[in-house]
Amino acid sequence: MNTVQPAVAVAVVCVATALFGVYGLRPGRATSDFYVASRAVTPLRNASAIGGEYLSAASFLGIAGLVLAYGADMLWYGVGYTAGYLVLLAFVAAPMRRSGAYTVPDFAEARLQSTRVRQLASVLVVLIGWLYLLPQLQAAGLTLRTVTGAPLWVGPVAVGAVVMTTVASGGMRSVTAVQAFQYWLKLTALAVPVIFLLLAWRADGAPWPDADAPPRFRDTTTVTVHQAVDVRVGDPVRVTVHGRLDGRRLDGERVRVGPGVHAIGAETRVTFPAGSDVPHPVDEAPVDGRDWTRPLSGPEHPGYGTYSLLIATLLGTMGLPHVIVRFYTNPDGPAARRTTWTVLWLLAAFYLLPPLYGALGRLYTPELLMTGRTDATLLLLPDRLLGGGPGAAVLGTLLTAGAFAAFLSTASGLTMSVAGVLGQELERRRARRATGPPGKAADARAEVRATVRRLRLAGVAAAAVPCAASLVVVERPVADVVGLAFAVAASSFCPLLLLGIWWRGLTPQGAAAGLLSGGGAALATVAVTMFGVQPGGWPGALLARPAAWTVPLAFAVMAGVSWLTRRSVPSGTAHALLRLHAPESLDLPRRPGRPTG
Amino acid sequence: MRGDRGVPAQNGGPPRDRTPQGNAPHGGAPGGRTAGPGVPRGRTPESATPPAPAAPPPRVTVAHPRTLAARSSQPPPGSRALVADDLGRQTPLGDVYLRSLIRTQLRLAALVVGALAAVLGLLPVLLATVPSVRDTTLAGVPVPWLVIGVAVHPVILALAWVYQRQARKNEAEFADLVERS
Repeated sequence: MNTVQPAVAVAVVCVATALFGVYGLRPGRATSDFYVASRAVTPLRNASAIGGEYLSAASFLGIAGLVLAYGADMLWYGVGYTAGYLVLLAFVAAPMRRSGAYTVPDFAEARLQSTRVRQLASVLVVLIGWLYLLPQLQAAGLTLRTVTGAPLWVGPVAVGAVVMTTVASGGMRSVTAVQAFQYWLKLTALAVPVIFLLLAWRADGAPWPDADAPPRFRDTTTVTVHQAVDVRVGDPVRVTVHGRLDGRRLDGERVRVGPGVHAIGAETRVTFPAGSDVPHPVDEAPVDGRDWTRPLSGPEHPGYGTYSLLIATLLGTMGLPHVIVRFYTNPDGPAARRTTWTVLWLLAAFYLLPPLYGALGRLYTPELLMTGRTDATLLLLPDRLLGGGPGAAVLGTLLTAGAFAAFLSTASGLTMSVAGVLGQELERRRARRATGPPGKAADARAEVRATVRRLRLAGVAAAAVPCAASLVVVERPVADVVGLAFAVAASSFCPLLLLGIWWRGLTPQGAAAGLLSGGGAALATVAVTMFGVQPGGWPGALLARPAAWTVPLAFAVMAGVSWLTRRSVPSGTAHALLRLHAPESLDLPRRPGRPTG
Repeated sequence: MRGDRGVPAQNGGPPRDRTPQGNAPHGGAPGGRTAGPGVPRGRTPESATPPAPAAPPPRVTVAHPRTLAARSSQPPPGSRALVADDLGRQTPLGDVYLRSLIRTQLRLAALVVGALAAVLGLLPVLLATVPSVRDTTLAGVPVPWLVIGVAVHPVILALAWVYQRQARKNEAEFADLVERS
């Protein structure tokens, strides 16, 4: 594969994003500029920006990779990611905008008048943000290695650097413009190549994976194994090996590999003949074409997995920090609804495409099942299907550019919201210490400058931590890890928002208990799976897809504890609800409360 | 769904006259409001002020109450201080109004999300267990793939459209009710 063009494309996307961020528009000056683009963005632009921010590496690369590996059940990812916005529209969009706060912790404090709940929510925002950032950065590493052969650490460092520059220099105003553009770049990058790939697929006789056979190499295929792996071979096969096989150093010899488990060393190239079965890692059983094609026929409790995934994505979307903060850029509640409605169209259009790549990947890049890097399928397909040539190079470059747009836009949105929350907490800590009289006008300006400086610092911290973690933590499929972030959001912020907006009985104690139990349980399963513990059977299913039990747990605890402590329902509850639900056109005589701007 | 809620639906909006000097043209009905013939909903002129003639008769702006409310930063005298004030100060009466709005909106949201949950809840089972659906292919692609990958999205969009429209209507009716009582 030609490595120069993709590298140039990556560089162009990175530099353009950074330049746009730094010089493209007036840099944010006031605190509100930094957070939410002064709340003056039109619905279509705002919707494009939401789409650009939301369609992360998990959507761009991850769904195709999971479809390649596990088939029909993974199609629900796209449905869940879209339908999550419908739930958000129905329960949260307009009231959230009317709440007049910047972040979920702000919302929690305004609604419950409790600093404790606010701090708890802040911690969760930061953890969810980091958990979501981690796979974005790792995917950047994988992409750069796939297309240019660069070491794994280059991608995370490049993305981290661009994001820090963008966020630290301008804040949300510049981010909005960049992300609106990046949605359209991502859609184009998926939509154009798929036309050519499908034509090539038809010219090839429109094959579908063989119902009775495990995945097979269609052509003679050379697989480069970067990380050592133990694979199980079924039928004996003659392969050519450059590197280490079963502890033996081989240099281009043809060897016969018998049935059983074989160890392939790091940085080994193995060439398989056309028509041979793809060896799978020992802990992954090969799935034949029939099971791959049919829904609910995977090995480990596919029914539970599917429903748990749907719960996590439907209810988790509303709790994602970078999604929620976007609603404050709408001028009012109805505009927030219009924006969400537009977002649904943009998402529905986008999610038609990744499954196509996944199915083609099953046919033409099955070797990824052996290395486990199924997220790379999208990047390899043009070369594989169109057989080299300048056309394939152009399409591959487009896909690479789209992938980088996905990493950058999601990562900057997340970094922005994590930075916002971190910065606010820092500011409050400082404000509590300094209890002098309120300053004069000149002091106020200096104060604003100091605030923006703190926020920039927080932006750097928000990106640096996951950047460092991405180099250490074991790599798992992108969409899987993002699914876990959704599960944590669904088990913590979803109950807080739903009960906070629609139920008078919510108390600070109940909210805190619910956040701790639901969010805590979900985070615990994440920690267990991230460190590579994968038990089989039911425990494995419950740990890998926790939402189906952590979400009901969070709701039950939050409502139950609120009911037990029903004497301490905050006194401002009725007023808070009035503010969330009353149409703006009423222009009610509001009691003096928190400022809206 | 109309009329099936705590907030009564109203059909025509009586135009409200607003006179800067306070002399209402219809003989000064209390609060400057008159019970004129109904103006069709949603078709209100932007501003009905004629080009200023030489001799100034009292100028009257005819517009939908909501339009007026949106335009004016100050509440017009009289009427709107009633329920709006109740709402703002959270008297028991205001609370009743607020509860009715929240109940209406919550019912709508629950209905839409319930429909979504029913579709998404039944589909996996249906696609996996009904053999005629599970094993059919259409143009070389298995039907379950077409259903999950394509056909679900229009359903989601349709539900969103229904929700959007109805939620806006609920709020408009609530605003009318509050401004008029």
